[in-house]
Parts: sequence; C-alpha cells; structure tokens
Amino acid sequence: MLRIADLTKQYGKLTAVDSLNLHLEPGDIMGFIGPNGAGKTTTIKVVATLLRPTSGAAYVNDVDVFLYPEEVRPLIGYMPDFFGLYDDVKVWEYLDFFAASYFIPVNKRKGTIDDTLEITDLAVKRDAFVSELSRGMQQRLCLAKTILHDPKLLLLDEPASGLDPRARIEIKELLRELGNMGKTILISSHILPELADFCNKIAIIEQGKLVISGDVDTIVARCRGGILLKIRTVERQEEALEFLKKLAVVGDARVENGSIIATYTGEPEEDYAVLDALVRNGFKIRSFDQTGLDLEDVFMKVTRGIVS
Amino acid sequence: MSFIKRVLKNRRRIDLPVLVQEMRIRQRGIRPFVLMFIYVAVLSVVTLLVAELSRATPTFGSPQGRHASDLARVGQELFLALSLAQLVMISLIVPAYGSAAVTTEQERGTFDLLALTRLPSWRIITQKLVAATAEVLMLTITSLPVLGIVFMLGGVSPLEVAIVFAIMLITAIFLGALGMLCSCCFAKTRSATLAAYLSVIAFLAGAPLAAEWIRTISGAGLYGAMEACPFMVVGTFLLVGGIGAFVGQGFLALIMKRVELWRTRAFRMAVFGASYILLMLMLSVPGLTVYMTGLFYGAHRDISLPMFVNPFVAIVVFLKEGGASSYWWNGLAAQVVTATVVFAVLCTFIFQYVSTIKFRALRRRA
Repeated sequence: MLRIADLTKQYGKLTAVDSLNLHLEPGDIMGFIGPNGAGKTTTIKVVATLLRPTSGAAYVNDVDVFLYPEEVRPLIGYMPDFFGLYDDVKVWEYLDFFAASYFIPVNKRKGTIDDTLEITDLAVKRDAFVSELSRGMQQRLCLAKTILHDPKLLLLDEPASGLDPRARIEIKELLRELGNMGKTILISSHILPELADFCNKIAIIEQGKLVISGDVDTIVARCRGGILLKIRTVERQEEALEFLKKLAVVGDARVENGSIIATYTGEPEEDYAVLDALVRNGFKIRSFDQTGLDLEDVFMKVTRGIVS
Repeated sequence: MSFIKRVLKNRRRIDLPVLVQEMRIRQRGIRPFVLMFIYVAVLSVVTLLVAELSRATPTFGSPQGRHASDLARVGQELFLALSLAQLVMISLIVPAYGSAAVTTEQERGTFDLLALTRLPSWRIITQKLVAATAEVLMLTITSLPVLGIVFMLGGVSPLEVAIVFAIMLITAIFLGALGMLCSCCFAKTRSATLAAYLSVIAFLAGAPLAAEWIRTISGAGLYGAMEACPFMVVGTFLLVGGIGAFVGQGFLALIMKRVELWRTRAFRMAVFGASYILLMLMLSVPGLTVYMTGLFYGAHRDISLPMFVNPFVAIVVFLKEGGASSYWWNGLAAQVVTATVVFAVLCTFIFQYVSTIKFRALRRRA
C-alpha cells in the first residue's frame, strides 16, 4: 500500500529525513513515533505529495507520489498537524466544498457528507459555523474532511495534539473505528500511549533516521529482553522479593507501588512456574499478572542509545 | 424544458466549488454591506460635487434659464466623473482582493488541504479570479441607482453606458489577474498586496508619465536631451534596460523551466546580465532608439503608447471624442478603447497562465 524507499529530505544543510525506509501492507495501522523535530511531518508531507524529496521515493499502490501526484491524491487522506479552517462557513458547506473538489458526484454528495458526519459524531453540528466548534470538534471535522473521499491510505499528523483528555479519547475511538473499516493508516505522534492500543506496527524515528520498525509485539519482545511480572502478596513482601531474586528464571525484581515487578526471562508460556514456586513456599498471593505492553519503555530504550 | 433538465442533470460539469466557497466566505458578515455603503457614498459625493460645480460654472446654463442641451452636458460631465470615480475605486479594491486570494490560504493554513484536492490548478486560479471580480460586478450594479440621475439629465446613451461598464469590468478582471499573480509569487499577503498596488500605480500612472517624458525627449531630439540632463537619460536607459531584461527573463523562464541548467541561480543571473548588456547596447545605438521611439509615436504624436492602453484615458477619450456620435467607431476613441480592451484581455491571459504555473509549483514545493 505504502512503500517509502531511501527517502531523504534536506533543508539546506539540515537533513530532516535521512534515507528512511518504511513498508505498509493494506490494513496496517502504523504508529509513527518520534520526538518533536524528528522528521515525522516532513515524511508525511512527502507522502502526501506536498514536498519534493531530495532523493529516494515514496510509492502509494506502487505509484510514485512525486512523479504522479494527480493519481495519488485521490488515494490518500491527509490531515496536517496544523490545519486552518475557513471561518464564516458552515460545517456542511465546508465538507461540500471538499466533496466537490474531490469530484464526488452531486447526487451522492449529500449522502456522503451525512455519513461522514455520522462517523465523526458531528451530525448535530451540521448547520453550525466552523468557527463556533470546539477544538476537538474542529479536529474531528478535519478528520471528516480527510475521509470524505473514501481514501485507502490515511496520513494523520498528530491528530490528537492539543486536545483535552475527553476529546483525545473521542479521536482515539474514531481512529479505531477507521481501522476496523479496513483503512491503511499512518499516524504520527510524539506521545506513545496514544497509539499503543490500536496500532499493529510502529516505526520510531529520531533525527531523521529510522531507529526501529515492525510489528508491535516483535519490537516489544525484542527490546524488553523479558516479560514483566506484576505480583502482589498479602504479606511478607520483602521475603517474597528475596525469594524471587534467587529464582533462576527471574532476572531482576523490585517493588513498585506496593507490587513486586519481576523480569521473567524464561519461556513466555511457562511463567506460571513462578507462581507455583511462590505458593509452594507458603507465600499468599493476591494477584499475579504479566504487565501490558509498554511502548514507552521501548521508546526510551531504543532512542536513548542514539542521543548519548 | 429538456435543455434545463439536461443542464440540471450535468451540474457536475459546471461545478465551481472554489467560487462558491469564496462567495460564502466573502459575502457573510457586515463587510460587504459596509463596502457597498462606502462605494455608493463616494459616488453620491461625486454627484453632488459635479452638480455644485455645474451650477457655479457659467458655461452651463444662460441667464435666461437652462436648456435641455445644457442639462445633457451636465449629464455627460456627471457620467464621466462617476465612471472615473468607479474606476479609481475598482483599481483600489480589486488588486487587494486578487493579491489576497492565494496568500490567505497559506496564512490560514488551508493551502495544503486545497492543494491536495483533485481540482486542476487553472480551475482554482480562474475561480478565485472570478470570485474577486464578481464583487466588483456587484458594486457596479449597486451604482446603477446613482447613474439614474445621469439618465434623468440625458446626454448619455445606453450604448455608452454599456461600453464604459464593459471597460470597467475588463479592467477589474485585468487588475484582479495582476493581483492574483502577485499572490502566487509572494508568501505574505502584505507583500503581495504591496507589490500589486505598486504594479497598478506603475501601470496606471507611472508608465504614462514616463512615456510622456520620453516623448518629450524624442520630440526635442535625443542629443538635445542628453545635453540638457544627461543623468536623466542615462537613468532612463538603465531602468528601461533593467525592466526589459526582467520581462525577457520571465518569458525565458516559461520556456526553459524544464531545463536543468535553468534551475541553477548563477546561470539565471548570467542570462539576466547578458540580456541587460545586450539591451543597453541596443539602446545606445542612437539611430535605433530614435527609430524605435518614432515607431511608437510616429502614428500618434499626441498620445503615447501606455496612454493607449490606459482604461482611464480610454473612458475619457471615448466619452469626449466619441461621445454620443454614431460615428465614434471611426475615430481615435475606437482605437484607444480597442487597444485598452485587447491589452487587458491579453495581459489577463498571460497573468493567469503564469499564476497557474506558479500555483502548480506551490502545490508541490520544491
């Protein structure tokens, strides 16, 4: 669906993106993560046919985005990080303008606009002026505009930036829904938890260079060097900690917020053995669990090397 | 009926999203009403002034009372004054609208969204130009009630009104296209508007004045002028050479834009320098210069070339020379009006073409 090959973009002497390679299959949702100024926006703009790359190329459906922008534009939906809205225009007029600009036939326009408003939960604001909407609603409106012409590939640049928690969750729900609709999505963010639950791939970029990319599970497993176990005991926590540290399959153990966090280095399927050992030795266990995926840890681990 | 049905069915073919959008943005709020009010107010003040003046001037009316022909002359004077006032306001309004068309999209942050649509660049540019000039059309229509006074006084035929309005509208489109070109060339609305106004002033006032001055020189002989004020002559030469080389550069850029070498700055500078020197050499051949000025002014010693394509001059000459006479088409008025209209239309096409190329380049910034 999307292939970025050796993409390099230089602004004068500054290299914003340095021979970047990415690959997205249809249906993939890729989290594109990196600190501010890492080159995320530049990459997305090149794919969106808005920037000429210094070298390398990007292909959408095997069509070169730079050579044939007219063919690529109908396939992509781009949502910029900073977007302007036309004031003095109503919500439906705003969408009507883009529907006409994307050559959606007149007889289908009203239906398409209504459907899109339904998806983005803006149907009640159909006749409101764009300038009267809250920031979160404007963001949703921009997303509505982005999916209006039914693009196959969505390029979303920081879609949840600058939103309050509630609007942020609403946008996340919306993105999850779009993922379920089978769209290929490239979504950038500098905040990781935002992406953790609905991306199946991530790419981490720093100073224009791709640090790591691939399936979320693979990357997490590779970086963590083990599974984290979260254990809560009823009593005798200190003794349990000492006991765990002596076990061969436990690398390290510490107490965090009243729970023991232990790094398990054995076979992932056989972690129950630790619980078994604890119980056998008379410890009373209240809970025993693998902690969830923590992309934040991965991110810190992966990017630290580059900076230092 | 079947025709109407067919048109309704094929509405997609006459879909003008950018125009509709621009109209929605422009016509909402109090601004259009304020603009209309000022426009009509200025025209009303002009009407009152002309009425006052005509009462004070003894040429109008005799001690015995006024005749119909005197009233008709007042009507003609009034129509001329109103037309010029309208043209002045158009020259002030349209360049500002045109020059804001593309830059505001960039400043508002909507440019990327517009750039990614499937609309071809020429359609966006054309629709934006139509939107900018449509407002002028609206303003000229609001001026009709004031013009009613002219019809009441008589002396002006509907054909004359139609032709003057046509000149005004074509000028509006031309100046709008000029503003649009500035809008595509500059990143900020402020600089684009400034450039547009400077160009308009240069075209409407600067060029005619300069041409008059050159004509005076050519009348007195080149060497006479050289002796009288050599710095002025040298200065004019430098300026004319610079402008000529700049214009040539623009045309070369259109042809050469696909050539790799043209993209290097040094090469472009070299071409500019070479054409400048070439032009200076050509200008410094006295025989050639005298021949050229003679070519320009030989046919019409009394009117210079930039005057020929100036809409103000066109309206004045048309109403003064042609006037109500049914044979106006054979005179100087016909030539001036035709030259003005043809020049404006030609320039509009060229400006639109260059704007489209510029806009297309903006859509995929290098």
